[in-house]
Amino acid sequence: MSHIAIDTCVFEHYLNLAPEWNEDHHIDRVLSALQRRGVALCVDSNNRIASEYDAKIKPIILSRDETGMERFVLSYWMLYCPRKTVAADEADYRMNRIRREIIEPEPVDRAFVYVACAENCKLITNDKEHILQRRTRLRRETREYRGEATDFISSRQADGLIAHPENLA
Amino acid sequence: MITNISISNFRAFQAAITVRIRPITILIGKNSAGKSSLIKFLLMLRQTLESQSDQFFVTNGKHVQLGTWKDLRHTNTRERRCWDSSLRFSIDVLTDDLPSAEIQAMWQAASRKRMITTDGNKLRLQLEIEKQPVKRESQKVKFRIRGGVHYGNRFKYGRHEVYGRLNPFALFRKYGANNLDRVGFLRFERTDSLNDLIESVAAERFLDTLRHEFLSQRHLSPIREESQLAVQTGSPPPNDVGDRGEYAMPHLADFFTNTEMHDKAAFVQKFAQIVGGIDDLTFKSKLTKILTHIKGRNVDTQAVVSLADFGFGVSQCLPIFVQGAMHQRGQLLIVEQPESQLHSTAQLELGSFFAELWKERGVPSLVETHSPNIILRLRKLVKEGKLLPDDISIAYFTVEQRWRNTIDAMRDEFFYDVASNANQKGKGFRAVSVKNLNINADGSLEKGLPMEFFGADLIEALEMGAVK
Repeated sequence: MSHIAIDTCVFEHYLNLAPEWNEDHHIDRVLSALQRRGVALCVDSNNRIASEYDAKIKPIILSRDETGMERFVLSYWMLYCPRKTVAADEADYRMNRIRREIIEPEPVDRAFVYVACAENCKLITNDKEHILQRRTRLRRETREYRGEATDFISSRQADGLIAHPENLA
Repeated sequence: MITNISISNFRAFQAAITVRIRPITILIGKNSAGKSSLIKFLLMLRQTLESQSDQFFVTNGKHVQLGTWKDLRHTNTRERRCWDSSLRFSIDVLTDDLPSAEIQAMWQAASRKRMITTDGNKLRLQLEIEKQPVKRESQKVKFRIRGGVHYGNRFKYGRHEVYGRLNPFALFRKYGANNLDRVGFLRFERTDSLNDLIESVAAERFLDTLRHEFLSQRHLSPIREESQLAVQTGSPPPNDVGDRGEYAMPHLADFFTNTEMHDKAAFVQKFAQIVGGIDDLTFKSKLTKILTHIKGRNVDTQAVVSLADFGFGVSQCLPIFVQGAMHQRGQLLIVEQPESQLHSTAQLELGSFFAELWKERGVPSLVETHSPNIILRLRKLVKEGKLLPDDISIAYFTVEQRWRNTIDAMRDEFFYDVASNANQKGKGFRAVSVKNLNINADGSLEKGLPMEFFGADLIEALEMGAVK
């Protein structure tokens, strides 16, 4: 089974909190393509990722009305899709290398990069500041602690890979 | 067809609520939010019209047991002195079932002039009707039945009015007030006046149209009777499976044994297969056709077994299909929790059932449900163009802050659809309110239903994921 890591901000953008991020509904297409492939969602064993999903997505659900298919898509990713819990050691070499690049107190961002490296899968994120702008350096730092398939891509780049979903996950 | 129902100070409804009725109306909301109160109100109207009682509303009868008249009053208005001590209601009915143009003209002539005059010792009857009355039979006319009945100890004081308007003309108007012992729902006081007698003969034809709207309704309660190994066929009530579906099997047997009813049998068979997973229903009569054994084939296992041996969900949904097959065009089918005991895929198919009921057979339905899947299927059918957005209304019952400023504001909200919340002054109170939501042409739902309403499982999953 193939795996994927999805940053919380992608789900937030999917919910159109920042319309400019998803005005063309490309995130809908990406999530749908991944769902059709039955891709497993990677989370860390320290629950940083799941906790952030809870902390950021739950308030949106509580404050929004049901109009489109958002609830069904989120239900799939949060409730029904296969999950891969990645054993994460916050003191191991991999995390230390990630910490060299993401020096800010952003443990969840580090956790997303960590699980992508550990599972040799893509991380879909729209976090420019901490991940996408440092993508090259992150790749270099984690070279010894990740597989060839590991990459950190934006949701728009993921949309470009939908035509060949095997490249996505 | 009923298009709008407004009620206030009735069971769960303290402030006025308005439910828009469309060919497929879905009532959703938490438990005890008032969905069933609306249905009970309609059942009360039906049993009132079926009864020969002189009560304005028959609160205890064949279809619903609501207790005494004063038990209907909302608790908050019962416990303290309150200005609103009446049950108020307003029902809009759109119909093209009108009397002939001649009868309409006769009614208008009778209601406008004194036709009986005295000439010495003789009574003279003079009836003037236009030579070429306007033909209005084919047009739809909107009737409004509205009234208010006092919850007092000693007197049933109130008023009750029916009027029909074919713009710009007032087509019909009938008014009854004061002592309601002589006036009942869609029943007006008759005096000894000959003039009134002639008028009331024509008026009865209008009122019969409205009565038919309520009398033709059929209702299925949330718990239907379980299938038996053998059913007693006999003579079930015509076109009625009973509130608990107790007469569904005799009717079903009739469908399959009477060649003239094969289309109804095919309709039931179709949905029994899709929703219940039963194929090839067969009926075997015993004891001079009094007892009938019903068997069906399990679509998955191909095993032929008695209907009673199928899952409980089958016995819960079959009466709905049977009643749907029997219903005539325009008669409202009221179903409480059709999804009872059915798994989620079958619940989706129920959405198609109500859609087909309307599109193919012209039968409107009022469905009280806790199933998001029925709504999801309806949304899909709208997006596919198989249903029109105007075919569906979703009434979301919720509890909101309401404002009560003056009697006038309340009255405006009730009779003229002007929200009293527009002037949010004074002390508010929390009460049941109803949001009538649309399904848009693209299948999306109009804003108004919180995502958490059907998304409790999603929230639970998020919280569970965060537990260390």
